[in-house]
Amino acid sequence: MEYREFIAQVQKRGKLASFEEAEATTLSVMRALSEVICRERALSMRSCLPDEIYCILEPCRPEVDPLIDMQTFIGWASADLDAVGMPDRTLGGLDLFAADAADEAVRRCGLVFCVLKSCLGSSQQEALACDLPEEVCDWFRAA
Amino acid sequence: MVTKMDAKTYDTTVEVTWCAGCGDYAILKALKLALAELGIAPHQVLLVSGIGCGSKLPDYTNANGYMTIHGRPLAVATGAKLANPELHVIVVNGDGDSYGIGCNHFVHTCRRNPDITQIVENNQIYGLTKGQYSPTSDAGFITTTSPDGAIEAAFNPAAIALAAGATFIARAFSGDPKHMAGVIAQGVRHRGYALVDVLQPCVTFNRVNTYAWYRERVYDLAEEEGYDPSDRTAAWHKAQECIPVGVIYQVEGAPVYEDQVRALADGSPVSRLLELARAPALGQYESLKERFV
Repeated sequence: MEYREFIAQVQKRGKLASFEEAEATTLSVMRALSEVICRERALSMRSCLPDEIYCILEPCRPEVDPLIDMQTFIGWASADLDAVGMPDRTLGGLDLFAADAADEAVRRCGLVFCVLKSCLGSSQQEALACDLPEEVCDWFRAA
Repeated sequence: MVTKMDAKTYDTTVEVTWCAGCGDYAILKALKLALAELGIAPHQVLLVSGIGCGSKLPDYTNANGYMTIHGRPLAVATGAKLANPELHVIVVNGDGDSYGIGCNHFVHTCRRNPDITQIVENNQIYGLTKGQYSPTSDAGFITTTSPDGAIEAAFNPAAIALAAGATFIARAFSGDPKHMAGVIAQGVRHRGYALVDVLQPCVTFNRVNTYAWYRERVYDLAEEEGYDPSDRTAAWHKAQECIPVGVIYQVEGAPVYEDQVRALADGSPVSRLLELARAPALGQYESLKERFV
């Protein structure tokens, strides 16, 4: 799959407003993935992914860091989520973003995982799932 | 029977209320792992915090905890250490609590050198009060209280701590929790005051200093050939750099505050109370009472 097609599929599945937004989402989620997968896993996906996507995974660690959990993953994945326009669920504060960030980040992880899975074989998908933090693994399998 | 400890030993059932993605989650995990790997049991630990998002951490940890008023945890922690030097006293607070409201205590704790560890959850913003710039915010940082950008240069915790006489200064990044656990363990093992300044993204109110922003800038001092953390001049230079993590400075054998308090020469208040409680005869009770009056 070509890079632009990968992004376009993320945009289509998520009904995201623009190509640029889908691109930022994809890059954030792949950046989060690079923090939780080992080098061996990244290398195993090299031939299946567009170069522009693979290069984000390239600086991953030699081994999985077991302390990185769903929360830290969301922290990486939500880095480029735009706070503007999010509804304020708090009582009079300026907290435009916190209430919705997690739900939206999880949804966007699902979008990228879905397109990523379509690039991988079933054994690669399973191996990748085993590297992921528990809850992230659930999102991946459900995507 | 000896029960093997792991990080779960420190778990509680209290619901964590930090925002999803907050860097504090990794700090909590790293601290629990560090304590477990050091073989320190929950009853041997006192976590002291101030006010702020990160200061909720003692509530999420199965250990003794004390949430003090804003900016005062170091003062309370020093008192607790004097009362019971056997305790591992660990202060956990944010950059506002430590370097803003509690800056006076921070500077004087550095020079006193009590055997306590301070973990500062440094997210460069006041998160609990919804996003005002903090002492460690960079100049130009736009927030609700700095709409034209922060005017002041950022507070440099490592440099201030070094100048004030701290004997252990380290930095960690909450995006690298395993590395952070190792740094925290080194801080707890250090005899004397240990500062562990943790760079911790606030995913809600700080949209500049994100995980990716830090990842592009942090590098591990342990991987820098020839770096000697006992070299004070080298540490001073590292304290100005963007952004080394790991142990920046450590000097062993410096006098510890509580060791020099003459009133503790015959035992700490807690050990004396325990002695009193165990005194089998009235005579001993009277003699102990005389020592307290």
